[in-house]
Amino acid sequence: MNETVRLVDIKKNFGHIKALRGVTLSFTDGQKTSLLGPNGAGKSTLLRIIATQMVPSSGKLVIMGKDANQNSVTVKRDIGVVGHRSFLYDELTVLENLKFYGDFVDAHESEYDRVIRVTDIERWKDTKAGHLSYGLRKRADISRALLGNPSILLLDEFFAGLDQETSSTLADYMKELKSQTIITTSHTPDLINGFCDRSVYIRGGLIEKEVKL
Amino acid sequence: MSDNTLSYALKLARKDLIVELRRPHELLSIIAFTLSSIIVSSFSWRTILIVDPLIVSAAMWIVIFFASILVLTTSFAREIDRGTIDGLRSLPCPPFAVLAGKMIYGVVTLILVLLSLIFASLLFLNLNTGLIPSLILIFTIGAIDFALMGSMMSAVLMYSEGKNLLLAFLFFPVSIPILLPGIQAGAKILSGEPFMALIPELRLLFAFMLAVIAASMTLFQEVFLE
Repeated sequence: MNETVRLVDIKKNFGHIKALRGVTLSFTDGQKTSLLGPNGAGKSTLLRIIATQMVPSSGKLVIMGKDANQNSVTVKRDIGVVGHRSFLYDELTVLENLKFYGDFVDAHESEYDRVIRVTDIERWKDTKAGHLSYGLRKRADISRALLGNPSILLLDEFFAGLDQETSSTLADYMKELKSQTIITTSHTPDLINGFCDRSVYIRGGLIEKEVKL
Repeated sequence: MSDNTLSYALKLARKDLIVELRRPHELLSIIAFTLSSIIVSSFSWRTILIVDPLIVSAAMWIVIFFASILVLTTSFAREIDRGTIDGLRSLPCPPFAVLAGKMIYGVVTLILVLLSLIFASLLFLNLNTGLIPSLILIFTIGAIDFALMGSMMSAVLMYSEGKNLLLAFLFFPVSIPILLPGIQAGAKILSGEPFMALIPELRLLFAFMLAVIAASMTLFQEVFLE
């Protein structure tokens, strides 16, 4: 197993609030990890730091063997992010959205067909993202995150706002992704644990426990 | 700016323009504001035989100034409101490319507004057509300055509660280095002074442009990544 992400004593302060108080954790390829914990535990902050969307106050983040703070542009090519909110533009069709994001990871034409097939959204590829239901939009967002075949997939509050059936479908898609390191946050462990092999419990900005599933 | 940064910026600007053109009510309302402002000015000056060029120039710059506020307040605010800002943050490109993309989008949109302003001024303010190239030049440089500064300010204020209101308020004091030489240069053009007479104002406008670019390149990454 190759290490894909390593966090060493990561701290993050927002003014006087200590969101993360020294997190040390590592992830390997193919490993699917859920970050669990109550609201305000620091799960999303940790995910945003791994996504290099947020700079830690101190500590070291290594992604695919590279220091993420010094190589943030390079390491972003290895990371696909599905946020709690969609990254798609309402006025663009699904395919146009994919092409916009795909241009930044030098995606080929065949790549768009591949990611559209993964989440089964061929029928909606020419529909404007603003006209999609929440579940379909989430599927399109997963396709977007898979562009460029990233080694790491980060899913923030992945099942929030989704019905049981859509959640199960999305969990099935995740199970199919064998090679990617998947890190997901949630405060509802039931569905997440269906496709994860490890759970990390976070409380008060610290790792409380790790459980192999 | 490296070739890659420019190429990423152009992709981002293209996306913004497509999004804007697919919801054209905002752009059309800005152009309608431009046209109606010039018509109202023309109406109010109908009894004056020769209008002071300084007043005409100031009126045109005020229109561009307010159009800039309308165009630029939305540039980062909309990304924040829709949640797509995190999509931009996750792009594998230098953070400055994102700002440069917004700047290019702002410049293109303001040039569209500028063309409608010049067209309306020709029709309703009886501008001499021989002055048009110089006017387009000076207003284009001003529009670029507004777009650069407005995009950076929009980025700085994007997390504020009342970002749209704040930008409108703060835009005026920081626009003074654009408005003063711009109005002066516009007045010189309308008075028929030779192009060389514009050099001092052009220098100021270019110096401001370079200062904003330098400040943006230094500060934007800190603003953009939380």
